[in-house]
Amino acid sequence: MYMRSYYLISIIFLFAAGCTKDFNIDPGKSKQLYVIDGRISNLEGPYLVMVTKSANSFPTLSGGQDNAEAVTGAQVIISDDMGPTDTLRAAEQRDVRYDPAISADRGYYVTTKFTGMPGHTYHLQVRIGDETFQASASMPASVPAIDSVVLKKDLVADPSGLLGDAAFAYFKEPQDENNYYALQLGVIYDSLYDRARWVYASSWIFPYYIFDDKTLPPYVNGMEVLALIAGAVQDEHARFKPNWIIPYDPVQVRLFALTRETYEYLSALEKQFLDDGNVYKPTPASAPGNISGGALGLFWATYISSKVVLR
Amino acid sequence: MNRIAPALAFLLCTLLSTKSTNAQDLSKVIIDLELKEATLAEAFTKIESLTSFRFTYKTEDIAGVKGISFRLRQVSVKKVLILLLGGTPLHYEQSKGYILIKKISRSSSRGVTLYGFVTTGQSGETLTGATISISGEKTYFTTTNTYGFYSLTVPPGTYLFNCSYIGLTDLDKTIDLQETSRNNIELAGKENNDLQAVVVATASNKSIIRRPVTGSHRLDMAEIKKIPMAGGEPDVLKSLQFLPGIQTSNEGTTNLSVRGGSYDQNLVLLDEAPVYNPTHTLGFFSAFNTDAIKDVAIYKGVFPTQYGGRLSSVIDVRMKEGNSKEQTVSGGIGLLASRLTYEGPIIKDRSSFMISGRYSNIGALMNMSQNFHYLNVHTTDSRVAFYDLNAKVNPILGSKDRLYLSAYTGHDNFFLDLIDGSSRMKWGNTTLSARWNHVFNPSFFANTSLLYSNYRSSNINLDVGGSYELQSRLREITLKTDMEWMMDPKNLIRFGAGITGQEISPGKIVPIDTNAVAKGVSLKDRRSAQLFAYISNEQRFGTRLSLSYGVRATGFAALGDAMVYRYNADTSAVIDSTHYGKGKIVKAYFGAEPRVTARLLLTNTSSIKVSYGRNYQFQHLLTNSSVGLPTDIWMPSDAWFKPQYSDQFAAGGYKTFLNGTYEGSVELYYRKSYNIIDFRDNAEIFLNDKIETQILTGQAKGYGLEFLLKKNKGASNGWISYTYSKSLRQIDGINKNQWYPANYDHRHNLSLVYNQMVSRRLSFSANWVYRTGGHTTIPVGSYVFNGNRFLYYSTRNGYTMPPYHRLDLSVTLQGRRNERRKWQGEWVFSVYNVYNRKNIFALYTRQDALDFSDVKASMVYLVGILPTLSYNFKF
Repeated sequence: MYMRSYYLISIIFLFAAGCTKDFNIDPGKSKQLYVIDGRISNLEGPYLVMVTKSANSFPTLSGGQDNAEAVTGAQVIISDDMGPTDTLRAAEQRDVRYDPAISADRGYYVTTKFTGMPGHTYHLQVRIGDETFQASASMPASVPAIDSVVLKKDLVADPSGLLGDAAFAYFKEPQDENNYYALQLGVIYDSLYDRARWVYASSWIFPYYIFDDKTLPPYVNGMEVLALIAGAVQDEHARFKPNWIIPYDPVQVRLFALTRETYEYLSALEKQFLDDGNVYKPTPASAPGNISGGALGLFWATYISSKVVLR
Repeated sequence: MNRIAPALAFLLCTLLSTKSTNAQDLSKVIIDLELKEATLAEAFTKIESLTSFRFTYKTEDIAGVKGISFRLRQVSVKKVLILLLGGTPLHYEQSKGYILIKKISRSSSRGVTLYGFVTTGQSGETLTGATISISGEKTYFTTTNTYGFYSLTVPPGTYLFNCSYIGLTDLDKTIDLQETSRNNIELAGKENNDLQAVVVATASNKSIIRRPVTGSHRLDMAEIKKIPMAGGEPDVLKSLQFLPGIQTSNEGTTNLSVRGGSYDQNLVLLDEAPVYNPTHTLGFFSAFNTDAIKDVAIYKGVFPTQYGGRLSSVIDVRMKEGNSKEQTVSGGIGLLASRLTYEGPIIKDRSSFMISGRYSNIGALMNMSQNFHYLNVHTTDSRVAFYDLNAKVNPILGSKDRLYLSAYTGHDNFFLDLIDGSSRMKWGNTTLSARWNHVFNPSFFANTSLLYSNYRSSNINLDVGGSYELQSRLREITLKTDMEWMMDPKNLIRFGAGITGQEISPGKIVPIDTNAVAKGVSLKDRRSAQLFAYISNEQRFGTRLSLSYGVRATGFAALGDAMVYRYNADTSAVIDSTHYGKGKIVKAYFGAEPRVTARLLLTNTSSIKVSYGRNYQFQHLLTNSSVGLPTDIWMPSDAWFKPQYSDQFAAGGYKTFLNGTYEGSVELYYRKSYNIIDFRDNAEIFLNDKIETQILTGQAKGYGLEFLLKKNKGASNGWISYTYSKSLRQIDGINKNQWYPANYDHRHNLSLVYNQMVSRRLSFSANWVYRTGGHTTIPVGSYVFNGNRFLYYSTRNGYTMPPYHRLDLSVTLQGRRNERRKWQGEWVFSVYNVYNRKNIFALYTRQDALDFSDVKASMVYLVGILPTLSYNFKF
């Protein structure tokens, strides 16, 4: 509780933020569900499918890392409607692409042989015991190329200018169709790969900045690459901010073309971060996943264009 | 005397009539009269002995009148006769020196009408809902309409006339009604200014017993100002929340849920013009400056037929007309806002003006707080400001015509980093009303109104590089006329008709900086028109039964220019579209709203009533949250959004005790609504031209029991209200198509409002509320996606929050009364949430801000104990 910093405010502006405090809710023990999280892209594989189980109580114990309950021994198959079928293998525990800090088996499965193609549709089948879960995902046929990425100070988000640079992406946006995008920024060494080293799923950042093209002009003249980043003590509310770039790191900005289904799922997840208990926010709801058979999660395919900036 | 006596006497009279005419004028012959337990016959004999008048009557007619005792000095014979005959079935006629006493014929079909306006003696304001009763053999009763006008048609005779209004001294007099006459009334003695008046006031609330209306309340500004409020700012809409059947989804906000309806189902009228967003500061204050308001009435379901357009309630707020006696300036300085009002006569007793303004202090205080609190990095540039302005002039054009011109405008500017650092909102209402009252004849009153309402809102997105302004606007204009015709003593007919045109521009994006990564986009305007007409009759059957029945009919048309899409089964893709040109009818609907209320008088102080009513609403508020944002859009019915409608049944028992000191009521209601809307899960509503694909329709029902016990007079007064209620919704696509509770569904709701006058200068108020917790949606579990933990949900509003309760106190100290000084001041010290309870304002579950792999639940509570001091003045 950071009551002190809000105390005066809450006296003067009675209600605006008031105060927050932890609250114990018993959600009731519901059945644990399987969770499937997989992605195909046009970048080089292997692609990762994570099979885990949901938690039915909270707070969830936190190790500061991925703390999902792993599902091992699942049979995971991905097939391309115009190409090969691939049976995935369990990821090696010490693979640097998948967070080497955790050495236990985490229910990660990786593809063995194919590269995603724009316009193709992929089918996923996961068999756990006698239960089967399925999903399919189409990769968008096109994505705008990033013309350039400019690194510069964002003096609104950081008036001091000391935190580093923010990245701004420039690209053409086709106006005659409805498009959905995400932007991501990472310190990347092997940028050709879908799962690049050091860009493993992390519990301190939600790396996608998701948007659609409703208000985008024909030429997007510098869209700031933002992310939801944990760890700001002052912030009671999660908010988008630049993933500050420290000089001399090479960075890669990725622009993802998303299907409407993926966009809706990721933006529903994003809304969960932004729910600050504020009564001006919509009723919270589950993100609409695409896994049939009663599992949570999303299997998605995305066409990525990228730009590496060296400093 | 015997039967032939009158004839003989009359003969004698005509023969011997030699007196001068002056001696025959009843009002000029002055006598002293003393009677002790006398019969009427004895009284007449006594008058005959004192004057030259002679009485003629039938002995059996006057036999029943006895036990007359009084002592009068220097009164006219006329006055004596009125006193003697008042309340009896007798009246008199004079023929030269003879006074004929006649029984009022029961079969007399001739009616005479008494009519006029009721005003306060103090400021000349007209009084709405004042009760008028005329008692003779039977009692005739009416209430003044919203313009203070009344009209009562009764058989000729002598009556006891009573006019009363809560907080004012009753007017009782005996009247001799032989012909239609105008009787304008001024009621004296305002309770809150004079303790003496409180004690002698006999403000009996007869209207609750006698009016054939269920579920209605009226609060006077004096009552509203006595209720302690957060920050010491009196609030019209929050005061209504202390009444039975009226609650709020979120404490501290002005949103009203009336009998299980959502807040967009309330029609808020300010001098008849609809106010589309009656709130300031995101719903924490109502848009009405209490210094500019005269009174507020609420109808909770079965509305009188002149009202329509919403399902749950009509909140009829009336602005002050201005003091027509003298110029006054009043105002107040509070923690949250400062107010100033100037009012006075334009021509004394004929026309007046009022102008009133209010400006918030919140923003200034907040930015000031920065200087004291270096830790608070977020408050830079916070801007929470609002103002409102009310103005009214009302010239009386003649004895038959009055004109009321009123205007309101209020705006908000809201940016609070703590709430939302990336957007800034501005919004405001403007309303204009021009109304013309015309008294065609004593029993026929008409009002014609031209009303305009404009609501604008904008949301400025401050995202770096993408800053743009999202604007929306609603404009509405109505022309209508309302008539009241007191056809005969048994029938009061109300009828009227009108037309409304509405234009909504739901969304328009204007990029702010030139190289913004946003382009101008706008959604098509939505136009619609409504034609409406209504007729109702309030009919008396005998002395006990009264029936009010009527129907309101509305024709609605959604007009082009519009594009109507057709979709595949799950509305995921457009399969066809039709374009309608400008002015073309896209879709038309018709709604007939029958409404009926029966009232049965059990005794003079108790009654029971039953009622049924149907209401239509041809627009929906697209709101995605429990309190709502000023940027929420009103959407008229169209090819996709069918009009919502509801059926309500209500029944109640009403009683006044101890000569009107107490009033009590119990009401039971059941209502069902159709075509209500809600959003799909994770709805995409931002600039969506296919908004219908994001919306689901369904039904709602609610029932409840409401108790109210109110003490209207005396040095201590107030009320207790209790409501047991249930409110449920069922919408296909939400909660697995099962019924679920609305978030404002509170099972038990108890309010106590208490005011105590300690001395002439000092008074004390307290209120306490207790409410079962509202409902919210909580997750059933969490899962990891891309390394972060997310939540999943099952039942909608499945979690009942802990109960809410709060005590507020206030003490008012008026300045010393000094007749020579015009300045009157008062200090109000109030304490909100006295025992500092941390009531839940909102409950949520979210990722830990330090680690997204953890989720935890948190609650938000409003301010704890909050003392406030404010100063009000008048000169």
